[in-house]
Amino acid sequence: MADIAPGTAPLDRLQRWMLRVVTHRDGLEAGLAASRDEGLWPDGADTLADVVPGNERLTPEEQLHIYAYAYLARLQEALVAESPSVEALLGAERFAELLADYLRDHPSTSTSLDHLGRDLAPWLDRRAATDDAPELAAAADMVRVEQGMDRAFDHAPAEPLPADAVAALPPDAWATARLGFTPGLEVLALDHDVGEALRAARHQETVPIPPRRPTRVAVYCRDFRRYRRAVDPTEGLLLDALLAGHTLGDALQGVATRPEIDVAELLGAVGGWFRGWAEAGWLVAIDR
Amino acid sequence: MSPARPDLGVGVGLRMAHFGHVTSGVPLGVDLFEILTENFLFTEGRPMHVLEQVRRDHEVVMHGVSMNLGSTDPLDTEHLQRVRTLADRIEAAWVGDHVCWTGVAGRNGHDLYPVPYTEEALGHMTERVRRAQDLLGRQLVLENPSTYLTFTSDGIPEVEWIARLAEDADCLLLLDVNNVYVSSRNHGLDPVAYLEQVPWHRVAQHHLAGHTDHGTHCIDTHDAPVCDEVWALYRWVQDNVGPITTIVEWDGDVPGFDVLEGEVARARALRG
Repeated sequence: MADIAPGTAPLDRLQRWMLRVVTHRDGLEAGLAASRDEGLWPDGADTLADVVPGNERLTPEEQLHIYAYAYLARLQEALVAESPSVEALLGAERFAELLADYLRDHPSTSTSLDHLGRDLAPWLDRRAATDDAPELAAAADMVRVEQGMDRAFDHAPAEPLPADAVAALPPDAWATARLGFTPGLEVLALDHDVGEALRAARHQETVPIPPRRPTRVAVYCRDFRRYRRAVDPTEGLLLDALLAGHTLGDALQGVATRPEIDVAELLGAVGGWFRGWAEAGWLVAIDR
Repeated sequence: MSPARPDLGVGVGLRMAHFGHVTSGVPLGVDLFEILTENFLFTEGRPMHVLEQVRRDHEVVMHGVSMNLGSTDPLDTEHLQRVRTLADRIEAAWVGDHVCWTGVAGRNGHDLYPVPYTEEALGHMTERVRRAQDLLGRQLVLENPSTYLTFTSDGIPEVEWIARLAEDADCLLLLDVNNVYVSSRNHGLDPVAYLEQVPWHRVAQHHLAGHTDHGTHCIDTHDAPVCDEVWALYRWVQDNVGPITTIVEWDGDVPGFDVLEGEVARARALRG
């Protein structure tokens, strides 16, 4: 308690006690017991009524339960809203239990609920391993896509270039040109092909467990709408390099020199990719 | 009695469900909008685009839930700076938060937890409100909370505690009429007696909202029309104090904008 203002020790203790009690993973009774075991009870309090008196209509436990219920309900609701497809995949009850465990391991430390789920995907990966539940690893990739789309949504829009913008570049400009992409565009590398699962969830159909298959998915926002799009693996490598700020020349050379790449196929495909990126609104600038 | 701030009329909370409607160009039956501050701090996307569109034709007030002013944790100066930047950017009429704490020990419960109404807590929160106002460069407008428990250590009636906070910290108040009703029901108090003790010269704004009545207690759920008892309290304020900027809140099971306009029209009628 070294960082608290002078004279506020009882207040600090009361707040630490209450937060522990109403946010315990296993409910109010467990929170009361844990707070006592951890020495958090306010000084001089032997019973709950010494801290919270209750009234003729509600006991102290019932009053505290209102806050305990609201804590879990509010935070679970926020996380489900971020990843509705995962709830459709796992079922509401199982996902809610998992989220309660997640919140125990990753309680909120931010003023914004938008940050609450930032550890959820890696947490689900770890849980998949410990529970021997591969569907949770697939769920983690679904979380990555839905959260990526949300991140894209929070970026300011930019005016896209015409579809032939890259093709119109003079050949001698390719070596040094850098492409500017729409803010928020990310190209995710996933271990599962989540496309069909996300589509089914969106249409309220039965959601299949995504098959384990390395895939690349672009997430972006256009005209204030969230989008995702599967990306060819080689196209993904090129986007990685361009999004990292490499010139067109360096990016193409970097991809072309990889042993698994067929250079002729690459050169035959890039024109279509550039046009596709522009048509999707991804390209917003070319710095020469 | 002179209001603490100009009367901006009656408005509603700006919610995503209504983004399309409020930017469609149709005439809106509201005078102003209130934003939930935290919904606009980390976005440059559609929410900000809509807010800037709305701001062109309406006053906007900011109302937050994360200043954690009653907590013993250090003040979150980064959060306050973000709030100030947003308030300056949209030229908000004023900036508010709650008489509460939301977390401690670095953890956020994302709820409006009650402060104990003690001298210790009053001195502590007074100092923090002063510092927050310095960092924000403006007076805060702080809302009386809905509470579901009291502490054995409480020694000062809520309305008196909040009035002293407002005077000592030189801040303004948002008198949430529904919260007065909910807390009065929950703690067996007389809501009119509460209103009679409000320092009205400090009140800049009202909230009206619906709640859920469980019989033994009420929960401030913002998911229903304003109930008759709360309308009666609002009328008491009109008869005894006069019109003050009012926002109708609706956050759960959000209905069409026309329903909110109906609540706004009812408030306007009571204001005379």
